[in-house]
Amino acid sequence: MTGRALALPRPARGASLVLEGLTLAYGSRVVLAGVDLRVRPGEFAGLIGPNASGKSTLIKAVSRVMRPASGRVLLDGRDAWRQMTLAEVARAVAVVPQDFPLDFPFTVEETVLMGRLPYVHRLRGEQPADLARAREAMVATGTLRLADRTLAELAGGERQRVVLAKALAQEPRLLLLDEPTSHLDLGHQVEILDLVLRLNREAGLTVLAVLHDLNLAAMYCRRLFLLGGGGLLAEGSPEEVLTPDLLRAAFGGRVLVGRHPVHGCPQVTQVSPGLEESHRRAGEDGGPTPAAGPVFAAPRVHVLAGGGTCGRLLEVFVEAGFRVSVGPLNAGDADWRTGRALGLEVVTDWPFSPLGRRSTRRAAGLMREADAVVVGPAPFGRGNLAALEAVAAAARAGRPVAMVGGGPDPADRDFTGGRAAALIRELKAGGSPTLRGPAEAVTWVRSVTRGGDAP
Amino acid sequence: MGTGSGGRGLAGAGGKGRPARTAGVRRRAGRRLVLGLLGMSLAGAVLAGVALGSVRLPLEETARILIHRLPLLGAVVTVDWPPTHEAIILDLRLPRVLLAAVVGAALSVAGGAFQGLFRNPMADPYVIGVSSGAALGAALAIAVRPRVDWFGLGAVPVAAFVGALGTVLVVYTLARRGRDVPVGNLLLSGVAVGSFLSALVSLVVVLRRRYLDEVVFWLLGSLAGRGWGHLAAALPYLVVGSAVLVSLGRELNALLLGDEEAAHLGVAVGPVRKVILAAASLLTAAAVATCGVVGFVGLIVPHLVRLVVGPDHRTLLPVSALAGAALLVAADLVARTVVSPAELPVGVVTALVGGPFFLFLLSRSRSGVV
Repeated sequence: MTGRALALPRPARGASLVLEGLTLAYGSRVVLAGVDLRVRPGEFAGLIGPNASGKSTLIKAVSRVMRPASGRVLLDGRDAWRQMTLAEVARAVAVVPQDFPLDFPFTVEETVLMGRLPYVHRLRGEQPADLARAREAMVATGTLRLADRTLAELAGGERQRVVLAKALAQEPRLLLLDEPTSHLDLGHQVEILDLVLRLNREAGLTVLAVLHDLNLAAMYCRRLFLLGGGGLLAEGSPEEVLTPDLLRAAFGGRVLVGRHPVHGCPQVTQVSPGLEESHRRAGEDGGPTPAAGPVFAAPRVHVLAGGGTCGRLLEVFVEAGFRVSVGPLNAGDADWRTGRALGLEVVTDWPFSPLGRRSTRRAAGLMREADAVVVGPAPFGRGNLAALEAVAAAARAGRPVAMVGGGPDPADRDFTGGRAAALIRELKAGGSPTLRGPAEAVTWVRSVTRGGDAP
Repeated sequence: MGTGSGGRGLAGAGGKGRPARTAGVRRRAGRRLVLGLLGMSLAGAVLAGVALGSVRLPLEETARILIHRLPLLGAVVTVDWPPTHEAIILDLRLPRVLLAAVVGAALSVAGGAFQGLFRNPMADPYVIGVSSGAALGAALAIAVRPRVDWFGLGAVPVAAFVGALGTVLVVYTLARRGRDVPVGNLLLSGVAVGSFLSALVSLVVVLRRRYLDEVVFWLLGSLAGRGWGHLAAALPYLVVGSAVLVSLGRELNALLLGDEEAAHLGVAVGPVRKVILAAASLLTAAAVATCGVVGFVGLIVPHLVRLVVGPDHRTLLPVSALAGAALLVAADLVARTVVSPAELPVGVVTALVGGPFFLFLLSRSRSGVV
């Protein structure tokens, strides 16, 4: 032993995993046929796909639980089934399963020590070095203080950390996670995956995770493999794989793909046809009018809001699946808060101050990029007049512009001595309609963006 | 430990590379104590078992007779006892006591192994029908009375042994699904085959009512009249089987995690399960063949031991062996002294004493069955 004393068990380097023409079958029922897949050393990769698409089965083939009908599993270039013993595979690959026996009577320490099984000599038993590795694994997972408790006494999140510790005690170079968080609440899901992320980043561990939750997969995995229809449907970055078309092909149904407000990765939202139907029946204010067909390339809409006048409008636009940006807004404004909560791109300026030239310029840029610009029933003063001027400029440049609400007389919300009212009149004269409410606005956006296709 | 982790220090707590005094360390210390106590109990039980009986011999004299027979130490004691005493001890009581010890140990180890293999606290050595098969063999041998003297043992033990192993093979074949032998299938087909064979035993007894007493007495388990021949015939199976099971302790631990998890830890689940099954069945078959169906030892001893030393099979099985040996020696002593000169079947004693005691311990333990 080397006397190393690390907070994290450190593999020499992550292992590479290559699947070549892998075919897996239960009896005569083929689950996966001819899958080629490559996970590079040190990568954090995710395996996603609908139920029964073969995600867990694929994990079983790598961890030598289920023998492939044909094809090869290569760990660092060696065939896991033909060139390695079971113990060799157990020293290279560890698995964190979805389930763990609930009444497991062993203590945490004994459980983690079981991870040393592939290293321990049958007759000599565990050596001090094995105890040291188990302790390192418990330190890394924050389970050392639980060492004396039995697993049956622990809560879900703690149990899963112990299971992770046991896997780490195997000193693996490839960590396989089979829906490790499916029984955990939100906080513990992130806790476990953050831990795995740290091991991946700091110890160079290669990670291949089966994740049921597409949004967690998008957050943590650099690369995703989408399984479906008995094979690999797509692979690539989350941006490349989590597209409405691919997701519909794999899962069926309608989904919207937005962006994570903090991490910027794709986030997937389901759309329920049943709910849409009931919204439609609920009448005028009940919700958005659904599009003629599924929305895939979501239209980009920029909203000029302010003073809390556009909260409902923003919500309805998001529900309709538009990619919405809003601003400029003062930080703390009610519309600003709504926009942030919805995860929109919000052009922000200092609180309670006139909107600056920079934020106005950014908003103008978003308007130029947008497929449509919507002006909410906001009051206009000197602070946001420049933003309205940007709208007018966008309209002159051919951007579809509409106003929602705001009353028949523009002068009612003009606090600029007539300049805002003049701009609004100019917009109306240029053909920009005034819409009565959010539902009408959705219909209008869809009409000017040709039913959802990007111009 | 070898080279300490030195100056950099892992999270401080252990200090200088020494592991902290965690549950594992404490349990290991407790295990030594338990092993010591059980060793002394076994020695005491053997001594009492040899000394006591219809003819009561002084303990001190008994000890000296036993020491006299040991190699090297034999010359230490002077022979001042009547030869009949030596004959009672060496020809009658000692083989019987030793047989009780090894059978008690074997049943306890087999019971512990079956409980682990099936992940089921209700499992005992007879769970896959070994006892029913042995009973049918024994009942047939008793009823038919073949005029043979196999291996100097008579027909009953041999027929019981063959019946036991034959049953295991049938159960195993019925439970098999391709390469795999799912434990659930094994349990179910064991129960089904066991019931079927029990019905056959009843049929044999009904048709040959004359032998009813003899069959029933055998079924309840007894060590009466067993000698060196029985011990010599059973010992190889009992020793080898127990050794194999004890050496597979960590695999049994891993199997508690489930088949897949065990495989993730490098355990070849299929082959290991077959070896455990074969060793435990052989143990049980040899024990049943020599002593009949001694109940309860194989069920409760592993449980009692688990309450004390924890679930780790590497400790559980050896400690269970010691405890089972001491328990069966003591139970046999009770069986042949309490209604002397008549004898109780030892299985009745184990069940009568063991059952309530076990329930008492169970009601006091926090964690329930395991």
